[in-house]
Amino acid sequence: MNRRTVVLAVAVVLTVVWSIFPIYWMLNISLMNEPDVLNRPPNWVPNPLTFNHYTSIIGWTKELSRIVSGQEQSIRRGIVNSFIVGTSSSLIAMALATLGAYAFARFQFRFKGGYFFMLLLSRMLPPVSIIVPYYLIFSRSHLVGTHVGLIITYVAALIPINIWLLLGIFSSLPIEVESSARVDGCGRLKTYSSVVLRMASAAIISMGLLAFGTIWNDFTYAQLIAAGSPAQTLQSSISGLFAHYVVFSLTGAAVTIGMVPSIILIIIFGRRITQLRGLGSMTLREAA
Amino acid sequence: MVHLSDSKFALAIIVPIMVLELALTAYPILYSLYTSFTNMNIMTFSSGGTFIGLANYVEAMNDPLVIEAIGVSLLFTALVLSMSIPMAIGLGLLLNEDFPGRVIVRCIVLLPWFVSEFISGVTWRILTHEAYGTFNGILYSLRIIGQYQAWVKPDTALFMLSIAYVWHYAPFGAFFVLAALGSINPESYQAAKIDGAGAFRRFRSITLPHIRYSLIIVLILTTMYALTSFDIIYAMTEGGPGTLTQTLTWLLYREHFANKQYGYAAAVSFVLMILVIVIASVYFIILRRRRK
Repeated sequence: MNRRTVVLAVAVVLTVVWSIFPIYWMLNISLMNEPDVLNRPPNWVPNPLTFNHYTSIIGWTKELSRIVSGQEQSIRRGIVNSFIVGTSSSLIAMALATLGAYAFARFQFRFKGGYFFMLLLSRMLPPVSIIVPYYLIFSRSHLVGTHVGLIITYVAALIPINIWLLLGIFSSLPIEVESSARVDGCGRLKTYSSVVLRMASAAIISMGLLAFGTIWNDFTYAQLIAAGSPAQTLQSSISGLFAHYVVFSLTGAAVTIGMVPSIILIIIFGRRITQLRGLGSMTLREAA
Repeated sequence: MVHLSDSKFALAIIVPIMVLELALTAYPILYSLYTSFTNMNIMTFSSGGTFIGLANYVEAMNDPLVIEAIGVSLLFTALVLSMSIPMAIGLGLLLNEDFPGRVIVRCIVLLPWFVSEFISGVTWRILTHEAYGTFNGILYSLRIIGQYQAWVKPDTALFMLSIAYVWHYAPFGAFFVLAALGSINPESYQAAKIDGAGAFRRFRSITLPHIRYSLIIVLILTTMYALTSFDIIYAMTEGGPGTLTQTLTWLLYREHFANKQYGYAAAVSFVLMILVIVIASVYFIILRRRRK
């Protein structure tokens, strides 16, 4: 072993510890009983191991009695809401974005460049600067604290970036297949659904999954539109855990559950994302 | 089925999408601009408030809290940049090396970026907790500290906040650097080595020019994100202790949701937007000059 190898190995180990330790620690405390979390010095592995927090969040076991009750229920509802909002928004957004990208990629119409520019420009603003009016407008139209309010927000947030990315993909598809489908008597919508969507399906599914991750991870919009309401998402319900006395082990469990989609996405895309350059623009926050 | 011409078919798709997008961006911005010229608050919300001209902006510019918040936002951004840019370069260079398990290490390093900013903040809040925090525990176990102590205290709060932000955000920069490093031809290093260039020289004259463009993008995006970040403050410090980590974003959130001063909050949000635009313009002017 030469010096270079040793330096490299040390650097890799330090980097891995820095990246993974905070995540490991949340998992660690989530598998402990609350009194064990408070041990000095702390336990490096949960001993005794307990899955109580997870089972009570799912609802298999009774809620643990605490000063503040209803926390498990709030987390459970947050998970369900995040799924409802995340799934429906990403499906609607991808349906509209693929249609939009198809229109931009294949047809000529007046002010095409202008529409496209406006579409991209509309998402250049920092989210905090539009969040103030959102609350006021949404509360006038009774959308505050509703799933619909969240879904509308996310669909609108996701469409521009996905149209932009899809445009590149659609333009690279061979147009001959579409032309022959049209000659065979397929309408435009039929061509779109049976030819274009099918040819680009892998990319569309990937983008849909990333869109879901973006929504799952969003806090700003979720908090300002639906905090404390029956529609509040997981991120908001985690913030609710800090309102009173903090139960570390339960918070750790909620945080760990909140990280699961991120971990799944990195497993799916990690290998490819380190090779693709174009996806760099698809940062989780940029899309939201 | 009705027969539409190609251009009408396309417009039938595009126009509704544009309406949705503008309804949720242009309309809110204009509404917010209007609100910032009124005294709208929780009491006057239903009537729409009365027009008071630039009074909110004048008040904001004379508000010591706003001035302090601008300072905190800028300092936070500076702290984040000073840590995350060197880290992005370091991580990028490291992940570009060839070693067993490289793909897995790359995934692990990128993972914090995939974790939400809010959850990152909550995680670091627990890690740095003064009574039960993990850092206390580790340092105590290693006998570096004799007793548990507060890490997020007046003189360190903003620093801890930026460390948490860097944990979440530096992998994003590393990813860009890594992508740029991939485009360098390894032979140019060999050639430089043969010519007797040392490691530092090779970095300066081969690596840096290749990743410069990516670094500028990372610099601009990190600045924008750090200036407008909100989730991490909510998760970790809630603006405290006192107002020491109260950024402009947190101030406008407080004005809107705690004090219910909608007009004033809207004016502060435009102050923030102007700040972002000014800094972005400074970057672009410097870039232009450099190119000439």
